[in-house]
Amino acid sequence: MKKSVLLVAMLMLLPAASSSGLEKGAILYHTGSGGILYGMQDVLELPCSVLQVVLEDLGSGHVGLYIGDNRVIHAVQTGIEEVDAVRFLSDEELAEGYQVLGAKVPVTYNDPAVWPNERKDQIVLIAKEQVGKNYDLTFHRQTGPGSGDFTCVGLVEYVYEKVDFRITPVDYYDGGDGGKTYTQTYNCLSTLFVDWHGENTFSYNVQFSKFSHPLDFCCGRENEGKKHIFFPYTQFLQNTTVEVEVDVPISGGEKSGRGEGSGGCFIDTVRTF
Amino acid sequence: MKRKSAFLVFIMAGSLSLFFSPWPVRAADLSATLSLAQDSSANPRDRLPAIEALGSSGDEGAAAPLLKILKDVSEEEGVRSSAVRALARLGEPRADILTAFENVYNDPRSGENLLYTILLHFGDMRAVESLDLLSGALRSPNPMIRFKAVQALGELKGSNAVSVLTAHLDVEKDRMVRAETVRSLGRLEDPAAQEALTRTLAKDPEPLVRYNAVLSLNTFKSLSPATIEALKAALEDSSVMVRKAAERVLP
Repeated sequence: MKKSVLLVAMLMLLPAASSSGLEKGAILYHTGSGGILYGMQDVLELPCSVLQVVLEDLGSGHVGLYIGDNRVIHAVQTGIEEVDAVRFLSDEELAEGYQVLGAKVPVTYNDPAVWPNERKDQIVLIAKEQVGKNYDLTFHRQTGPGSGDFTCVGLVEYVYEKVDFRITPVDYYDGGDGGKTYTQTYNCLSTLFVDWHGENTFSYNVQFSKFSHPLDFCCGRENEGKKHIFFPYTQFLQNTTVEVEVDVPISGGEKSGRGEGSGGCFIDTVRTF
Repeated sequence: MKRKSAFLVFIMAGSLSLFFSPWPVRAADLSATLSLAQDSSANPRDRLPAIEALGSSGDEGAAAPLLKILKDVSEEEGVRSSAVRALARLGEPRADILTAFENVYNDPRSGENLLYTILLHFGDMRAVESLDLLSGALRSPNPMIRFKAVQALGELKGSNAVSVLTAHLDVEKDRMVRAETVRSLGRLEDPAAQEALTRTLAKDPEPLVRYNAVLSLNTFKSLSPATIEALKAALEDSSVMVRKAAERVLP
């Protein structure tokens, strides 16, 4: 009897990372084609011309929310959708080298005192309320709350915020400590085929990374006259969440609302550059 | 300086003007945007901003092509969903738009996310004319359909929505849908909803539903004595979330 009590107590103390069964509320991540993910490499390049963007993959990756019962809610260019989990990463994308990066949940997700079942349910509830809203095609807000205000990573950040959990601190990174900076030379039709130097950044610790592009007037969230994007890999890096095993199928299905050669949730923004 | 010159070149590249389409469209640009929006051979990456721009144009002439896209079953579901949002934003001609929404909703060929989008936008359009359809959707075997229907009903202030939602609370088996129902009752800010929310707080077996009932009661400017009693009882609720929420709401 004492042994069984001890066993139960030990099981309850196991960290979230070792739990089995992907829980509702788990955040799913995948890379762009060829396993590329903006921020993972030191080179932080954005496509220069519209033509390049059509032909190339930005490599921003993608984020979705697992809601249980093999279903996912995610923001894609055709809006916020609820789909079978296998459509999170399509067979077509797998063939192009896209890779599952992993799944994460809050560090204390296994502690029922902090995360009772109803709090996890509330995440799903808030996400379901967003289904049918529009995607943020110009990246003017990215983190909601209105229709047309969400990107994939911004949607996940929003639903967690609504249950009083901040995954990624809200701030703007313009370079220096806490991230990396890369000076890109753009040279294409958009720059009249002369060199144009722009500084792109990737933030490790806060939501928004500054980027510079010859056509950045159209897109991005503005702060102090500079344009910013919240990249999925920034959220993935946060230590407020911990990796968990992906033990349900989240790939191999039909592509979900992203069009041919979509490259994840950010392609549309660059498409308009 | 270099940025400005690059910008000018871009502006001069007329063929690229379509990439500005997420912004309000001037009359001169409308025909180009219309062409792109209607071009079913174009990549959705190009079409979606054009469709969105038509919805933001304020030009009633944009309605016909958008309705055509919505009704075309050969179009991708996501493109049709974008047409729903654009039409809801355009708003006029209202009767034609709502009729099209209802017809597409009732078409068994319509995909699930198209249906969810239509239901959501009945709410956005405050479509009291579609109250019967929304009430009927509450009988769907798909819980997500019922969820989006109760969400839309929560936007129909001044209608019979309160009684529809209150009646639905008594029969709904899915806790997620019941929770959304109480959230919708809160959004309606109708005194009649307070009684239903109070009863739900006292009796619903699911913490998720009781928690959202407390949140909804927080939207009322004044609380009845019965509601205050229920909130006091909620201070002893088995759910810590319900207890904490009740603490915040109690006067």
